[in-house]
Amino acid sequence: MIKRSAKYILIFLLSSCSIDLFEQFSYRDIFLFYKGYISSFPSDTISKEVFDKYEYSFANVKIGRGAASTVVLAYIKDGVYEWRSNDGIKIYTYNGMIIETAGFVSDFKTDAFNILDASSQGTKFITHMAFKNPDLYRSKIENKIFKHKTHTALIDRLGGEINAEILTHSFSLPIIKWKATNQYYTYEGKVIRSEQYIHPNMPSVRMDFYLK
Amino acid sequence: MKSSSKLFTKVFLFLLFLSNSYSVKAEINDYIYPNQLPSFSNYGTIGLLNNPSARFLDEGSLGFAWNHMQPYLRGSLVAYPFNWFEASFQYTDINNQLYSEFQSFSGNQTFKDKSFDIKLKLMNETEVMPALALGFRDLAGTGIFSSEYLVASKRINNFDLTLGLGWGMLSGNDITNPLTRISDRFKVRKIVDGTKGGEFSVDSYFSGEMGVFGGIEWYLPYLNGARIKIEYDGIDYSKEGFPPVKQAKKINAGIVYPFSERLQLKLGLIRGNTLNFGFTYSANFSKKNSFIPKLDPHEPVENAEVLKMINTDNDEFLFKSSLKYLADRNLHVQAANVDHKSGELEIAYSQNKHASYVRATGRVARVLDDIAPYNINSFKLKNLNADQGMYQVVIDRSKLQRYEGKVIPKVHLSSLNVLPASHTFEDYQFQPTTRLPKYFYKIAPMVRSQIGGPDGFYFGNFRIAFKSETLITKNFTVDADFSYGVTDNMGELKLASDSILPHVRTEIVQYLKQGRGFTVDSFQANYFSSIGNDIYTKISAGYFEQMFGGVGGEVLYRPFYKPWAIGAELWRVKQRDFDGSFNFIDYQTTTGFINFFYEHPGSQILFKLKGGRFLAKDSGVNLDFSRRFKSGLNMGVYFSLTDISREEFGEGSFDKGFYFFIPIETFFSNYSSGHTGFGLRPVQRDGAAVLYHSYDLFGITDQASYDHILRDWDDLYD
Repeated sequence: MIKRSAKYILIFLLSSCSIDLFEQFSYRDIFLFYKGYISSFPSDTISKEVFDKYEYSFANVKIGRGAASTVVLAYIKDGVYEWRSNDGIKIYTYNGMIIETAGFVSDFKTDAFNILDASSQGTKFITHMAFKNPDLYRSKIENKIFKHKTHTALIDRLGGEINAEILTHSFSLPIIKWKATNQYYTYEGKVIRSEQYIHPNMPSVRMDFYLK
Repeated sequence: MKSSSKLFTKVFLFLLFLSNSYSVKAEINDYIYPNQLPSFSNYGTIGLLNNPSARFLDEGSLGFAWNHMQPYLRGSLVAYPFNWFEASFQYTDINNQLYSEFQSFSGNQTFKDKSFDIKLKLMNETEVMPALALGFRDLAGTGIFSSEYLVASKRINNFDLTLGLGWGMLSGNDITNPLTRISDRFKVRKIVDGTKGGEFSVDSYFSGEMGVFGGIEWYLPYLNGARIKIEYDGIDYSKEGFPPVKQAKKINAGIVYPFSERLQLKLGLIRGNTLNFGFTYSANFSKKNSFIPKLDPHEPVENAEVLKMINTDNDEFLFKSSLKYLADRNLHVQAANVDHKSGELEIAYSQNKHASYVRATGRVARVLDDIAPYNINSFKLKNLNADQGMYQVVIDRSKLQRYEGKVIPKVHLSSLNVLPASHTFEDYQFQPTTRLPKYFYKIAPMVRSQIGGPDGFYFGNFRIAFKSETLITKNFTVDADFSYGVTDNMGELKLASDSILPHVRTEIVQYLKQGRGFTVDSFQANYFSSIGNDIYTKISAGYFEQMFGGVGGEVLYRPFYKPWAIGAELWRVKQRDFDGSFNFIDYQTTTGFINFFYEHPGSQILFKLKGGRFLAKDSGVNLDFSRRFKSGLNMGVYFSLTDISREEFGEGSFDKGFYFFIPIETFFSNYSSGHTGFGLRPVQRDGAAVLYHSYDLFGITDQASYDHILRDWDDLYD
């Protein structure tokens, strides 16, 4: 939404007078900028060569329709993976589910649970979630996870395609009447991609995991 | 009487309960009532529906509002240079009145009105007290919406209550004006006949009838910040605009739905008989990188340890690697020195990528830290612009490393390591070979616009522009801008100049009509030099702008450690032909000014005073106040007073306007140094007209200021 706003302002300024919008940007920049809004900014395609270049595990993160960026695995503790970007953002995941963030305009923290645990599928259960900016103290969320055998998707992966199973996680935060549905793409028993809503003021966050 | 007192007590206790419960649940309420920014009124400023309120957006906010409410269609631009100051420009189409009674002049076009509004916050809201504001509508326009008001707003839980007193057009619900007891001048509101518009009618402020107005903004839970507005309309429809405008009811009601924090949609029923629709967009541009986060970090040099080793015994290798690795990051080495005795590496560089001079300095230092051998203890970095030394910073290498990821505290800075910079190439051991002349160009779209004249609301000419710069030497440049019109509707323009002054600006219609094809927009040669410490000069000749060409120059004294500067400029110019060719027409003149600048370092308010002779041979002063924010956003207002009468000046009475500039990098995830902006002058007349020329010295020496380096110091590790 932030970047869509920028488009409106640019249109306004472009149609106003006395501007030098193209002072620093070429036609190509402007074209790509507008293309990004029309069809969403593309994710970085991770080829086998790019994958091999990385010394450590990494993930590709795309927030809403914005441009993708990379976070690198900093450490693993008790099954929690800490991913760091070069501009100081930290994302903590547990079995492919984002359970905490730090460094975004609005951050969140939720109870860690195993999204892949078959016993929790199809049943409702309660966990907790908290937000920062604006602050919302630990509040109850109602979760439901379900998986359909036929619910699969072809995903580009290191130059090839793989058929991933999809886990759907619906949740609601009754105190602020916020509901959302996350999706986790699994392959060979691991989450390789998550599309998760982590804060009511943010669009969904997509993470593609490349573990080494 | 007793029962009303009991009722009052109950209401008071209830309101007290509500206000306390709100503060306890503030955090949850931020989610239940998101997007709580105040909304706009139909008059284009923050308020209820027709009534104003005492609410403001944060400083550094800019807003656009569009409203349709018969008989008005209004577009507004709103700016907040301070938390306590709202300034707005309104452009209103009034469709119950023709532009003029002469069909041959303006056809069936309806009346257009331009006006300025301001609002000042007198008191912040507290737990008990409401916010209080004083405002003026149509402050210096034709006066058909002219009104003053004093208004209070108090938020209680999810209700925002507003109550106010209005004068002028806001006196619809008449009560006795208490100011009439102070002076008779407040008894009758003066209407100045024969006004050209644009005058401040100070004598009429707060005079005549006074009325009350008020209303409530009711925030609805779980609806993305939607709110219902109900108000007791304060407008006096027997006076406003062009009566009669029928009012069936005094109560107006509407709903505002925010799609996001910035974009709001509004629907209302006004006067009991008129549907009202509008939208507003506002955003805060004041904070660094607040709009789009930057994904343009410093890229460390690969194989840094190897380079350090290679560069240890060979200064030329060090110079060449500095040249390469800085150029890869759009930082251009102009000269270098290595002093092994003191362990200092000195680099003179120029750059055009970073709007923040300190960020550029930091990037240079970090690249040098990657590649310089370990016996180098400090970096002396000199910034050049137009081949003139602007500033230099001496950075201790160990401190640079120690504070990496933080910021070298300002306490470590002093006049010892942030210095003015004179520059001569003879002082340097190493200089890159530059093949001159060097030629840069770009092709870009361009729109020429004419908005709001009697001929029609909008005239535009879409053009393709070719812009080039040739470096003859490093301080002698030739800029050439040409453009070609692709499509336009300028042919329908017909308004001729009615000015009794030399037509230095009012022949704009001729320039727009005759310059629809190929035009030479500017062709300017510039020679820059420095004739002493802190003294900068520029000599220019050629076609400076669309309407004038000639020869002239500028000199500026800008002491590095002072917040002020003083300069002079003198130009001999001739008016260019309307067709944008290389030809001139007969009018020629000499124009020149003494310029004084003062910038308050804390508030970053810049005051510019320009006194001298203008293009139409009138003499006087131009005053310009602007404020710069951390992001680089700049907002300003200006006005001019010259030795011509209001009658000679014509519509608008005197020259005035406002502008804002936003750094282009605000909209992108990469850093860049350009900016885009919007300037608005209600009416362009010939009086107080100045020559436009590229590269004014105050602008190109912006970094030659100790305060500006300290201002951006937080950007060192960006």
